[in-house]
Amino acid sequence: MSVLETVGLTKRFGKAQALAGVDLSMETGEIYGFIGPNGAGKSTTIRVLLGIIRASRGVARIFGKDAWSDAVQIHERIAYVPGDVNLWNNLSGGEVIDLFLRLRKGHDRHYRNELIERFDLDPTKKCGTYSKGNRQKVALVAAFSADADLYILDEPTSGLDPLMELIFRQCVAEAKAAGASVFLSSHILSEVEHLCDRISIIRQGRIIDSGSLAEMRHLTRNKVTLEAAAPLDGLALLPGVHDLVMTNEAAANTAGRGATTGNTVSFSLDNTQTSALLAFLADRDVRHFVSTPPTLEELFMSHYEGR
Amino acid sequence: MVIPRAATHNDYHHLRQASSGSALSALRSSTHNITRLMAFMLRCDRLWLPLWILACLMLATVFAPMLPSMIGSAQDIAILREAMSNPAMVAMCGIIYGESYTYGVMYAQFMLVFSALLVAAMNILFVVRHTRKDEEEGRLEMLVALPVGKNANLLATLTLSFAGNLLIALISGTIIAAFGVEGMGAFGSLLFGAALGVSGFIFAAITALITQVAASSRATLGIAFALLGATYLLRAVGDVAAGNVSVDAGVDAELFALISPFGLIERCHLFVDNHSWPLLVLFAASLVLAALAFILNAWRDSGAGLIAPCAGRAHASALLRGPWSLAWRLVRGTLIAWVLIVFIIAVAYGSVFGDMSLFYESNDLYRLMIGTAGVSGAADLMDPVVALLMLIMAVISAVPVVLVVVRLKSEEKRKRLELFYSGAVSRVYTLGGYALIALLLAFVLQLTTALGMWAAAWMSMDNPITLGLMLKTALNYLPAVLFMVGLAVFLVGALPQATVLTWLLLAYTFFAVYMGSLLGLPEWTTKLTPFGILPRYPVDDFEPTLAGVLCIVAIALAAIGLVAYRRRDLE
Repeated sequence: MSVLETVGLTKRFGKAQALAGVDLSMETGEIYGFIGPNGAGKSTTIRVLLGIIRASRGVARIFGKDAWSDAVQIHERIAYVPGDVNLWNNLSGGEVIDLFLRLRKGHDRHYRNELIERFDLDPTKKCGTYSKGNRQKVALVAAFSADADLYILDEPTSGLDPLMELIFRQCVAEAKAAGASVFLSSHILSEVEHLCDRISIIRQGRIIDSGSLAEMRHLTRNKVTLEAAAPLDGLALLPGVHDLVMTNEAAANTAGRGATTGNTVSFSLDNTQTSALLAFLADRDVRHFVSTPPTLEELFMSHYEGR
Repeated sequence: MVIPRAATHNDYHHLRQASSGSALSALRSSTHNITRLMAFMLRCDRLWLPLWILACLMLATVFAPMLPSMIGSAQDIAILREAMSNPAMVAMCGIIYGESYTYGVMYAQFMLVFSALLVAAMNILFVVRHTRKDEEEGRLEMLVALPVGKNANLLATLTLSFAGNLLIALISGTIIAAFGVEGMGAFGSLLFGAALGVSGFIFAAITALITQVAASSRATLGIAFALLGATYLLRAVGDVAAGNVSVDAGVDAELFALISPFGLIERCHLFVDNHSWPLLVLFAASLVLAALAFILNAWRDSGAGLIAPCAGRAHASALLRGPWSLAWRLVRGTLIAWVLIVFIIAVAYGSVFGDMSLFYESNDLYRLMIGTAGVSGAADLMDPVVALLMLIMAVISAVPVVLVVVRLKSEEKRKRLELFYSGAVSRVYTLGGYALIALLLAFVLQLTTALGMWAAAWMSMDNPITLGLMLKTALNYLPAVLFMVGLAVFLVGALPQATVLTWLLLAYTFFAVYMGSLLGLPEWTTKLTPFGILPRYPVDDFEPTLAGVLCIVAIALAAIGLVAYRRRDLE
């Protein structure tokens, strides 16, 4: 059954078109990635899904109910974490967490205290004195200790340090294990890659690509830069190698130290073809090898430009 | 003194030079780049500051040329003098100095304290804006990371406030002098301006000091405005006591006015003796306070006041469990403060009844002025005064009442509602909760007013006004306050950009009711407002139909607002 579904979702603010027909469909128990650059319409879509704003046209359904008119019933079973958490300065973090738990249906007091400990949050501090990361933790604890069926997370890790990001991933995994669905909006591709079963990509208010992670392999192309002593002829012909660029700067750099002339290349590589590349490089005396995942910006520039 | 130049002492020597070396270089390093900082502040305030200064100048000057046309004949002046020397008016405006009631004396009594209040409010807001507010929102951190000294921001703020006050002083003084109204000499006019400037500057210095101590910018604003109100009330108490020479304690009680900046500036005896010593005293006090603020500012950590905020609860109490209890929790502190403020003002107004009853019994002119035909005793003569004071109190009480409803809009503006409404929370229920709290508050404040005034009257009058009359008078205005609730709900729900209308309406009402009676504006100017349209109860009869209509309009507005709030996009 579809836990979250939008059909032709359109939203105009005056003349500006924020959403131009967004179609999403998310199954129960899935972790669904929603990625796109800043200003693409991610937050607007989520605000429509939460019934904060009303779609100009189109349908948004959660649990088969209308996101606008049945907002209150829907919200009994969902938990939300915004990317920018604004709280009440004179309430403590613990009070805010409890308030939000009471505003929803079921919650686990034990789990709340455990999460506060895991996220290393001081619940007695007033929200006005929290840093951005700590306010984010308040919202995360409030969301994950709610026994929700659907978690809507809008760039939830902004401001968190890597250690806390790890705990966040554990929480998402635990929520999934408990049978809940997670809608995760992000502009960090690696975060989505780690967690999500399916992905939709939004750009300029439109979904431009969606599918399972396997279907989206082209997104997980790494950028490789390497330097080898032996010539690299034939590299361009390997399957999965794209956009090959050869540079000889390294030769000049190492010449002074009496090293042999090297060949430096950079290219993109489909992750599935990694072993083929390694086999090719085995007897070519590789001195330097860097492989980096593409940033979302690169992805959009290379793959989606002009679509 | 010779400092040993041995190598081992070099470090010590440098440290010493840095800490206590030339005072000038220390000042330079702590105030580095101050001119640029001031230019930057001016740029940030390019609209804010000119508008405030303009408002202050307007209030301080526009009525001056109108006086002779409004109060022309000798009889007018005599009547006005009698009216304005009654304790209620003295408490509100100040003492009349001098033998003859010239336009200058009149003007000083009408306008000096009010203009000074506005200038002081501007200074409080300005200083908080550029100190703690910037600090809290992280803007100051970016500035301090630049080569800018630790005290530079505070010094720039106070220098600008000094310049602004100087501007207000010079321009307002010059304008008033230029009007050339009879009895308003050039020196007195300039002194009037200077009094405004000095009272502004002392509040800038006081706020700079509070800002070092308080835990947050909100707390700073609260304390500073409480102090503003307290000094105004001290002046009122001192002035009434000073005017009441028949009371033995009168001379001592005038001290209350002398420790208040507003009381002190009055002691310039403007347009009569034109003393300048009160201004010198105030200015010296400002410098001392400012110096203290600098010392504390260099000492404390950025972002923290000297009073640390106390830790909150780890768990919410069982009472914090839904939209209504959250709303209550958010406005609770403000409401308690306002109930106290309203009670204090009510007592202050009420305490003048005792003096007034004496005053009326011996005064034919007043009876002539208010034109109450067929009244027999002092109690009857008191009725119009009770009605007017209650009307003013109702307008004052409407401020926190509207504040409660508008709070939901400011929650929206601060982007807190997105997360809040992601809970299973109905919008109508939430806005309804704020409206309900506002309704209860309106009722409580009217009761507080009646009780406060009655208690003070009971203690000061031989033949006190009954509690029943006070209650009925207060409740007579309740429909008007309810109308304000309805209007606020309507605006928050349907036209959130226009909530400022509520404040404009209240400001207009206050002006029309208060100034209208002083300036003799036509009656319809007050009838335009929900407060003015109601009968002035003990004088006129209570009109249940009118009250009912007002309530029905309020309910209708609120209903439209609630429906619209359910249907609109949130920010």
